Amino acid sequence: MARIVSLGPVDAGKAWRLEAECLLGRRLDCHVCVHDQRASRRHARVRREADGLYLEDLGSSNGTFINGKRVEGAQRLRHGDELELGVGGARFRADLSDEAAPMTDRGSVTVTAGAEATTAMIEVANLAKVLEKRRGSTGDLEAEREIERLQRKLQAMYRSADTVAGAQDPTGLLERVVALVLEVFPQASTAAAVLVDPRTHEFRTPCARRRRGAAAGVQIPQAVVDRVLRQGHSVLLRAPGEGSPTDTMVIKNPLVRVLGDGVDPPEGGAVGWRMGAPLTFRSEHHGILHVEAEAALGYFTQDDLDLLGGLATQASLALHLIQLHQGLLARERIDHDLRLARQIQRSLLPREPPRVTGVDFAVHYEPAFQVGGDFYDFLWLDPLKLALCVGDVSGKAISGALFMARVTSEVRAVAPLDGAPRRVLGRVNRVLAEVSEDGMFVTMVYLALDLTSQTLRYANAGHTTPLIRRGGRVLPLEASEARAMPLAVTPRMEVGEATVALEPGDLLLLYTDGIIEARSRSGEFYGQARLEAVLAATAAGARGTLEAVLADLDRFVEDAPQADDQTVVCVHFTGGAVGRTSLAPEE
Amino acid sequence: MLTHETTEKGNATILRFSGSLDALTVPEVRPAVDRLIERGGIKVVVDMSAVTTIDSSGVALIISLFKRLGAQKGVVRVAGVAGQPKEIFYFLRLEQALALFPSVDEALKGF
Repeated sequence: MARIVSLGPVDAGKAWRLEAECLLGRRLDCHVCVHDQRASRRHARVRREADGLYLEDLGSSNGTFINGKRVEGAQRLRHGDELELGVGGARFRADLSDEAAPMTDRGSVTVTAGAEATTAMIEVANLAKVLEKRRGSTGDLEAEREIERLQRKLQAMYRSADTVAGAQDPTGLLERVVALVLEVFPQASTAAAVLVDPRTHEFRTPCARRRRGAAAGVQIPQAVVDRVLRQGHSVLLRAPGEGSPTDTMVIKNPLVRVLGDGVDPPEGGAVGWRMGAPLTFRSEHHGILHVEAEAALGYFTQDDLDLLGGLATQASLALHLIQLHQGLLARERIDHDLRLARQIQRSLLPREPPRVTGVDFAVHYEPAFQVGGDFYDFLWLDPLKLALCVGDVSGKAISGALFMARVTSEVRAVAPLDGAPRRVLGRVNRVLAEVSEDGMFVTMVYLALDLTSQTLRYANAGHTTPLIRRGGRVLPLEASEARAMPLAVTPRMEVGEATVALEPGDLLLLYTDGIIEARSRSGEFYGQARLEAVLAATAAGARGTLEAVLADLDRFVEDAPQADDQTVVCVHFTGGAVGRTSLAPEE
Repeated sequence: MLTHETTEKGNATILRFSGSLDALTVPEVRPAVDRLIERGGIKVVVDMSAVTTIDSSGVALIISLFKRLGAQKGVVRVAGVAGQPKEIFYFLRLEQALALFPSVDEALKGF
């Protein structure tokens, strides 16, 4: 019988059976009477329909949530779902483990998840049929047990199809699969999904669970991961600790082997304490599923290994489908929205740098995707004062581009009012902190160049450190008083500024974190130190220095893909008389 | 490499990261963080004590959590930040905006 179990805050651990229809609420006559003020008197209802149990909110004041998502209309309950009556209110876990999967027609399984996964299910179902026949004729106890095992397996496979069907993203999927593995194997103490980076072959564990206690410290030996991936099939390890070949038993395509042996039970009583199954789809290795038994609870048999292999096959297929789906969605978004966003954004960046006698500019702007979050701008404050800014908006795509439009227009509106960089950033911050509620923020360095006094005043809101090359040395503009947090994080931001006197020949380099956080093929950051080194090593002007920096960066990253926008602005004070030689383009 | 885990303690949700919070790993944890934010109105302690390194993507994740939950009357406290991540947080002056605590226990006090 399906049931729900209270997770607190009151009655934790108490369970209620879910009848054909049952009410949840504060009223005493509710089937599940909830002692929590956030619950409405008649809060929600669980109803049984032909295909399962459905939860519906009965117009409660604080809403009903399944796994943190608000329930609209009637929503099908799945095993393990977490119910919440009002945010922070009474929580329950749905225990539908006894809900029978449709078992009536074992020979013809409905194909729901895809060919590979259902093949495994059909094989199990066929085998169950063969064994059932044999039980009918002989009353064989061994066959009886075998049928039980196979039924458990088949049920798990059905539930797994259900489990993977609702996942929207790879992590969500793996979390569901790992939870299912712990349920299916009562002897398991930990379960984890390991993903392998196809490029670096490094592995990481996006989700790990322990039956009891925190998941921290769940360790999956590299040797096990390597081995499962190398061999491409499920592996049962006898020793609890490591996997030396003599301690292990390897089974190739276990389902087929069992079928090939007809009705004989698995031989030898091979057991193990650790199993790994590859998450592989068409020779593409995503990672492995890993499960470890607790000696006190039991061990794994070949049957368990078959089952884990089946679950892994289904999970791999679902993983592949999700990735395909995400890929399609991403491409659609690019095709529609991004083209527009790109136009908006390009129109906001200066078409060309200003023309100033005695000052040369060179700019490199390279978005990682069609639309970037980086921006730069040049503004004439008066005929002898030029403001420069370089920034990076945290949002991507169209929302990022629109936010960037807002940022640049605010800067353009505020900058002419007051030349002090700290007041420009302060004012821009106050506006942005109010308008952006969706988690976006922006880093920006703002510099005011006074052509008369040849000084540079600057303030830096969480952006990378501007560098000045003077002779063969590099001077980072990193005065502590000029540093502030990124803009739009909070309206309460303290920001100061600093001034540096320029010398003839100085070269100012501004850049975004896409430069120093560019990675080599081995995953190493380019870093500020390398940038300083290449800057110090060249004596070229604005264009030449820009090219030297980009060439060094290219050598470093080789053919690694560009992950973030890259912007570099070089300003070279060539010496001698300076002055404005043309109007700024936006005017 | 990065792992994350969410636990409930009293009326707070503890989000613990272990490993490196960077451009390569942040996309993996973003769905979990988004789910947390969708719950709205909650108190979250981000346990950073096992975060070894952080880059701008990691910082963006934390700021975005802080801002989006804050916009929904939620509260974020950051606990146990140390080493390179701590340097970055202070370099970015984020201690002026984020409530930093030496440990999860300290962060839970009076939460």
